[in-house]
Amino acid sequence: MGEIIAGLYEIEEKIGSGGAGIVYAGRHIRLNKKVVLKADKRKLNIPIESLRREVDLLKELSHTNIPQVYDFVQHEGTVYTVMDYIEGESLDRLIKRGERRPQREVIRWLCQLLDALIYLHSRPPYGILHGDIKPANIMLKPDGSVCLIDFNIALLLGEDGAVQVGYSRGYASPEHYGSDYVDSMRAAHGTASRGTGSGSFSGHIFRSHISEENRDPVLPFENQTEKLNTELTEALTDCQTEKLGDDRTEALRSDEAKGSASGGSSSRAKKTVMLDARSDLYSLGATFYHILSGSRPKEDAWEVEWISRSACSPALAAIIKKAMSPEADDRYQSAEEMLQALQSIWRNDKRSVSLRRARNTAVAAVSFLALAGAACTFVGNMERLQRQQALTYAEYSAEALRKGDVTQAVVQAMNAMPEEKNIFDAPVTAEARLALTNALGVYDLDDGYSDKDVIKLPDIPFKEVISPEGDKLAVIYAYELSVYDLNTLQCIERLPVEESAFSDVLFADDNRILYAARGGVCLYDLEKKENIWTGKTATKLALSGDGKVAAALDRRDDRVMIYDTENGEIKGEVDLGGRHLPVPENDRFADPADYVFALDHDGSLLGISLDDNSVNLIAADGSDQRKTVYGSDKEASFSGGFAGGYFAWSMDNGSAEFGIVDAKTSEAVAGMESDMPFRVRTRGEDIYLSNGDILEKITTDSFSETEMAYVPGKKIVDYAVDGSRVLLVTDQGIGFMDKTAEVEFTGEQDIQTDFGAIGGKYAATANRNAPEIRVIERRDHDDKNVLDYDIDIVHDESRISKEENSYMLFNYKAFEIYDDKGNEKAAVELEDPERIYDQQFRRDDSSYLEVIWYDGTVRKYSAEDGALISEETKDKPDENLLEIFELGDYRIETSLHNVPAVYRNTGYRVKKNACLKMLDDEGYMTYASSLGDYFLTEYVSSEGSRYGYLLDRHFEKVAYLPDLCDAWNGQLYFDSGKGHIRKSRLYSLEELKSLGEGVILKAEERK
Amino acid sequence: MVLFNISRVEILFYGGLALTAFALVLGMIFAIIHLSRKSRLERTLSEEYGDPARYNIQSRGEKV
Repeated sequence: MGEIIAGLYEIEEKIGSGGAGIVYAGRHIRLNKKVVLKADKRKLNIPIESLRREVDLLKELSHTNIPQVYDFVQHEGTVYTVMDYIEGESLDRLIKRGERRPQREVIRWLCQLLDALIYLHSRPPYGILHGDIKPANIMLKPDGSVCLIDFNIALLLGEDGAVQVGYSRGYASPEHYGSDYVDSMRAAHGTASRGTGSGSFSGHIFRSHISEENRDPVLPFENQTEKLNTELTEALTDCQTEKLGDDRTEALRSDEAKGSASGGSSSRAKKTVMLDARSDLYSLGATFYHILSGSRPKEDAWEVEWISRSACSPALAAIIKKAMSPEADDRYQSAEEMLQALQSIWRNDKRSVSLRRARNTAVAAVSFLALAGAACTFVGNMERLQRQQALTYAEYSAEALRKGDVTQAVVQAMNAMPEEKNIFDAPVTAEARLALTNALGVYDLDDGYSDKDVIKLPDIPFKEVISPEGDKLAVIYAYELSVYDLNTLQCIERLPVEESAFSDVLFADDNRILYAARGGVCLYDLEKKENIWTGKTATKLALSGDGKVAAALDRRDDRVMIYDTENGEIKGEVDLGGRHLPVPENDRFADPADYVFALDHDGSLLGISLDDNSVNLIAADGSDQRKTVYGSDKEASFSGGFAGGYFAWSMDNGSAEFGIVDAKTSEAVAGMESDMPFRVRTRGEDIYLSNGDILEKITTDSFSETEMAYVPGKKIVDYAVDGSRVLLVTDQGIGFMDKTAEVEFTGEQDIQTDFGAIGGKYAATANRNAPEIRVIERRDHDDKNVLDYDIDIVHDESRISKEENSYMLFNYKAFEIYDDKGNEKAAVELEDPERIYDQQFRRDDSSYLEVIWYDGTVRKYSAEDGALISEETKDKPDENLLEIFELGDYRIETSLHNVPAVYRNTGYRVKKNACLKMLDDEGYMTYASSLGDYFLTEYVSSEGSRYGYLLDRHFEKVAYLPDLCDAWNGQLYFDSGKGHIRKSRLYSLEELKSLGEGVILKAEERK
Repeated sequence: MVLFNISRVEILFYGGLALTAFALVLGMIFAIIHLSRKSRLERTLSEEYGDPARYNIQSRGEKV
């Protein structure tokens, strides 16, 4: 039985001894639990209470990797600390045996010990330093975990008092040997003092003194058993610890000064020792250095060698190395930091780094590709949508142009063009450009009528009249009369009219209108903007041929008032005997032209149709002289008027009649019947008569009939005459007839038109379903003439010479050459024109016409003088009329029965000779050439008219070129066959846009 | 730009789609390769270092 301590514990055996005391293995008598009893060697003159406090503090420690302290007992003058008995062996035994454990196990131990150190270093109030970590102070338990034993309990006090700081050479940090030692080592190794201001250490620093004698303690590894808890402590006397403030350097200096005078019983020299958590980390690092390498690290921390690759992985070696940095500031600043480094060892391994780098590179590359792809898709999609929108706008533009609304066509075409301010804006599409070019009509150089614009009205129109000089238009719609300037299309005046669908308006002259105002007939001055005179209410008006007399009738009334046009003086009244103008069933849809209400030249005779289905001539002087020219009991519609001394009339009641009577005698002088309605208009001495598809003029001086227009397949609905110009309104569109006696139809044929007016250079048409007036302008482009030729010269093509000083007009039968002043230079008839295969105008070294016959004969005629330059016989040409037009990198092949196709000449990007595009069109392609950045294709239609297209580099149409005959030197030439060749430059996109903006601006100003 | 008769807009749009699809496929391939390498590396590292990141640290309050 061993010694009983404090009646509680039995000592079983001595297991170790050291500077601080003897260590026994024992057991708790009652609990029969194995314990360790550590007899404290310190003198009992240390107050027992302070020892108790030590143990009390230790008893509070609870960590898996630190032995539990249970008790503190005193026995026979010796103080015993009772703590956990740790099964296992110390690591120094492992080392001594030369046993090498797997690195991963060693790392696990390291983590556990760091865990313990974190715990210790964080104990309040100042943390607890171990102070003497070494293999002997680490127990390896049977379960494979480790336990840190024998830490310097005195270093937990943190108050003035004796402290024993133990160290073991090789494991102890440089600061264990004192600050002088550190300084000398720095000097020896050529490293500068860092002072105490560097690094990030913020823990408690234990400052102690060591004696010189005790700088070289003996390692107590002698006589150890397997279960030996080794302990090595260095007995120190007169040691003090001081809590240093934040200003460590300062405190140190003051204490150094004090230290030398601290006195005590020491006769030994004292060295300043400053330990902190980093010192423990050094020792821990050194311990594992030994475990991994098998060699104890050198005492001189500056000379410790790297652990070799064979001993451990470089990553672990680096951690150990950092922990063992000679300078405390270079080590891990806390156990937590070192533990984090250890726990990040996977992450920091080079292979992990490499893998992560590869991953990041791959992610970056894939992300970049995906982003680039997404960006391209996004941009492409934006542009696709823009393109689709542009196509839609282009269609809107074409539709508006078809209806004559030029402004709207330009607006929509401009909408189809993005502003191209950023990468999301698609380039202008060919369709948009084509729409704008068509809307602006910049390449339409033929003289004739073309749409100017559409005037929008508040309501559908009933009547329209153009002023004598043709620059004003008066329109009546529900309850209002508007007058427009036809040059600017601006509204000059708006006037309220009689509430009737049959309000009326006439131009007394270019600046005065006679109209059925609310409250009475009015003569209004458009310049002065004032009424000249006002008469009685009226809905129907007429002016005498000389303009001096006006007749006005309210259709609800049976009395016609005759006025002096100038002053409104009533010159007479015509009593209709209770009769009225015919009343239609539906006011709104009746044709206001289906009546006769007219004065003769001097206003003495009134022609009028009445509700008894009669047409009458009545004296306007109120004498009640009247003659009935026509009468029927069947309801009918009428038209008529005075021409010269005659009165012409027509009637339609299912069958139609036309008649001319002498105005004075009312004797019929001519007449005819038809199953199609007649419409009669008169102007001066002339009578105009339409019937079905014919329009005739009858001159009253000779009664000669002249066919004005013949429109087979169409029906003339209405017409208007202005001198030699006639506007025809048919059931299939409108047409114009001018001095050439040709009827030229303009615009789309399916736009409904019910009536029209013509005057000066304008015409206006309307229908009773749409609140708008279509204004058509007669344009001539004489300013663009380059050649005037005899209109009777029949030719298919016109070309300009290379020098631009002569023009050749030719067909298969003959050719004529003119100089630039229009003088004929040559006229040559070609032989055997029926056998001519083809003609090509060429501009090589000189300009010439190449004529090819089917038999292979090829003749070249000079474009200067028409002389035969050469004649040769070649192979018979291909009867398919195969033609190839070379256009640099491309060529266009066309033949008689095939659609022209574009081919690539070079193999860049596209397979050589690959077909890129088909150029399908109604006409037959006769020529193709390059024109700057564009291509030009020329066609002849089935009707024989010539036209062309300007194509962009994608062979998309960007401009329609009616009557195109040639292109040379950046200029376009047009020949409509009407006696002129005209020239135009190529308009750039910016110019077109600028013109478009001008049109829109003018329209805005009109509003 | 006339490239096989395809316009720039179509090249951008469809090319972008193709590029994105290619990036996704490439990403999947990289992911498979990466996961395979990572798995092998983890085995190697586990063999060498154990798994210190998974050790519960009592001083941090983790259950040991």
